[in-house]
Amino acid sequence: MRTYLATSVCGIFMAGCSWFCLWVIAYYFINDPELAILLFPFSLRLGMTLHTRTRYWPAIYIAEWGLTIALALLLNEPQWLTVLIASALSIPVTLLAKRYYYGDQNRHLLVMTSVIIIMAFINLSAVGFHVSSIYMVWLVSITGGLMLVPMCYLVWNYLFQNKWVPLSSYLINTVVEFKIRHIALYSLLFIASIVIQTSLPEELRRFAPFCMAIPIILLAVRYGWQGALLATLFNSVALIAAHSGVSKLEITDLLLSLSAQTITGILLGLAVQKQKDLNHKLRSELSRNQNLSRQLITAEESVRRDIARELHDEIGQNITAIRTQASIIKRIDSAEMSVRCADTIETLSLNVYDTTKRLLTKLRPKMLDDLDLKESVEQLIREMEFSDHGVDINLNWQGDYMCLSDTLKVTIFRLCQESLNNAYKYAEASEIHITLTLDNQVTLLISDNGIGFKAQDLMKGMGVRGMQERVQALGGKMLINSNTPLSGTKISIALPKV
Amino acid sequence: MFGFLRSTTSNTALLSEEKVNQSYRYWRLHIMLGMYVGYAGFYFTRKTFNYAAPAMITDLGLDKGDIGLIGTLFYITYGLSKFISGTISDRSNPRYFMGIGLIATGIINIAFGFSSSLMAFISLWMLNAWFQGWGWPSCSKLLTTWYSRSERGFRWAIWNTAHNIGGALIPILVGYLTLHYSWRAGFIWPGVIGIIIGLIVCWRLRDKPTTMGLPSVGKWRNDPLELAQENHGQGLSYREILKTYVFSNKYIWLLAFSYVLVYIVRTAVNDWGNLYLTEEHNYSLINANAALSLFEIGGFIGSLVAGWGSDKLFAGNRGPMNILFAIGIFLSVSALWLMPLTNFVFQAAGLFCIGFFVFGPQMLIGMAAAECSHKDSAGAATGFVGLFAYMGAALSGYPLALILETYGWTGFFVTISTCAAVIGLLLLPFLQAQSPQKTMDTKPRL
Repeated sequence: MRTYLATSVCGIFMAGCSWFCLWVIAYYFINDPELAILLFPFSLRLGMTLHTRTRYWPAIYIAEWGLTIALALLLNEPQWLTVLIASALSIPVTLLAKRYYYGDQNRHLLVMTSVIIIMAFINLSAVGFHVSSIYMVWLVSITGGLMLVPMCYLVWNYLFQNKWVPLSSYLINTVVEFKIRHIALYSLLFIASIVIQTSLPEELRRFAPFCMAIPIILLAVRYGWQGALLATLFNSVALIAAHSGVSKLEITDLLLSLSAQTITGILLGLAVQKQKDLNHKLRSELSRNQNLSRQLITAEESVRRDIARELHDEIGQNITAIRTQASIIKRIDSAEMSVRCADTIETLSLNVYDTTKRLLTKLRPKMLDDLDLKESVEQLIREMEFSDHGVDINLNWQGDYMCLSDTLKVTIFRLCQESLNNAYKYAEASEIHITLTLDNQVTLLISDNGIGFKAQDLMKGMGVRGMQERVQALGGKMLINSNTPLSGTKISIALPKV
Repeated sequence: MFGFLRSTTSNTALLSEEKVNQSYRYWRLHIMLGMYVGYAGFYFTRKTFNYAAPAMITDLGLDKGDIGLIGTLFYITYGLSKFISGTISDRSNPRYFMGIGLIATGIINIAFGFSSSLMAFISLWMLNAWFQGWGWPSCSKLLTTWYSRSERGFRWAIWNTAHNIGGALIPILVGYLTLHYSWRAGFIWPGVIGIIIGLIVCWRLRDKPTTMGLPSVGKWRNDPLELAQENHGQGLSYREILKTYVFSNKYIWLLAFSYVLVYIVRTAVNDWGNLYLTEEHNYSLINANAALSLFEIGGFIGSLVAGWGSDKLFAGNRGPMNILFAIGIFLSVSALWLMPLTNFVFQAAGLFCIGFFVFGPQMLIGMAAAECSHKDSAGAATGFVGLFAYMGAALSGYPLALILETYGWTGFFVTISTCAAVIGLLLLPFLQAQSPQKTMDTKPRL
């Protein structure tokens, strides 16, 4: 409790000081003390509340209300207190927004945008009746929100979401990442944009807004939307530095160009980032594909080698022996000898038969052709003699698995075979469940109550990797959980139905 | 002869756990009190000249150039002394180092009160600057040996407020003494107070916990971070430690350069603030000084917030908090510059904000320097960045005056806002080094 109070007091000072500074800056450049509150300070508060835990909200709101009341009294403008209504109304809105504020950055940005727009309307309804232009109220709220709320997100994401390695003397071993070239380039860009905004001759005036796109594009290409946002911040400083007039028209102009370039920047950055992400994904898929085809060739070759060896060692030898025995029978008349040779031929041909059968099973599980998928798995379980070891296996199969394509059948069979094999060898399980569900995709769940395994051991064995490759080759997904939250291993596989 | 100054090696007598807890608690409190009073005492004998200067100008006919010269020489000597005594103090007993330094400054102040020639003033004041530099390294050594990582931010912040308390009390005291007696009394009495406090410091402070037979603070509090630092780089000679952990430590250099800029902003606002208020906003001198005192109050609160925040929000990491405050410095300097109205409350609030944000990094950078160097070179590391800080302070004297003459107040504010923005930029690679190496997800992703 003491810690909470102390942190809250710190929060009041932090929030209050930045709130006040932003108010002064906003006042300077829109020249209206009341709208100034709606411009930066309100957006700052919105950005802070979105990114802090609800228990620290009192600190932020106390700072805001205290300062607003103080300003209203000092400047002798009591009608400002209606601003407090807008501030209070923001509490439920932000609370609601926080419930949806999770997930990836696109979702975050979407929530931010909606909150900014809703807050703009709330501001409008709260103070709209006593200001000269209600459009200004709306524009001011939107511009401030667009500039500051994503900035707050960036600061939060960078400073609070990273886990910082504590400062220590070990730091001297890390290399300083200080790319002087980049910093020089960006500083140059920033100075150039200020110069362009402030000192372009009157004839080229119309050219100035286009120049703002240059840093945005450059930084967006390099760092995605965060970079673009930083560039828009640079641009805003340049724009504010360049602005000279205090007439309403000029201020509107400034606000509009600020929001327009911020929106352009964020959207452009997002688009660039999306392209970059897609590109990256494509590249990794391509390399995975290459890997898979390489493995395919290797696998095929190794199967051929195995077959060739068996054919040569077993079948070839046996057939040669049969031929020898047959030629003996031809040359010898003794009936006794013939019978002995015939016996040898019988044994040898049985050998050939066995070898051929073994080869065939290796090439393709024979039972899949004779029996249906479920019966084949049951047959497999019988062959592995689980019941002799006191392992209870529970098959729960739903849906019409007869109509599956042959590839899928073989894959499912092999996956069951491999995981049963693993469970049999390592898991020490007493119960195994295999569930197959067929709807628009095939879902296979295999779980046991064994001892599980550690994540780092997972990729060591060839078995799991082989399963993984089979699933990936068909465009499916495989997830393995071990000892969470129950003991044992749980494998869930989703395969698209082709 | 100076054997008592030297830090003794560890005392191996083992104490019972309860005894250890008891004496740790007792001494941690009393050392904090001793350091606090002691450092405020250093401010009493440091700032006397600044506040007695107007009276000395009228009495002795000194001109502004002389005052400026003495000020600049003071800053340079003080910075050098901070560094040199920092390297010495790492191997000496802070108890006597700090106490004797303070007594010496007291004696010099008394002597200053009795002198009348410019030469005597210059030499005495440089000597004073020399002994002034004995305070900070001793305190940083005590703070790094008696408090562990996860609590140091706030403890250091509490101690840091001695700057502001000393800085706020001395103008009142000197102002009162000069007004009712003479400027000479304005030196003699603070000098006497300095000597008394120096004696208290000698009496109340202690050396490292290990010399008192206590376990090191990392072991006592069982703070893993602290233990890691205590065990790092053991068995090196002091010269090697200095070379590896201070001079060729790139991060110390980065901190030093950002410290230069922090001090440019701090000293610029502190020294030029009342001129700005009187010239631009037509304040009376009394009002301007009153508004400036808000700068100190802001600093008082700012250092506490920064220390607490870096302990609690970032688990003892100074980097992220530093960045937040650096952004704040930029905003607050721009706010004071662009302030569209003239009203005592608004200017005072602006100065309060600058003080609030400036004193965060002012403390955190010193602390970060102590923490990213070796345990045994904490004093040298803080002294080293302190040297750079006072070069920044010297830069905001004459060079800034030149800018002010040529480009006016706009040039002044453009300069210090740029400095403020660069502080954050310099601290970024420092932070980047602390970001964790990309580790594999613990969850098996298949």
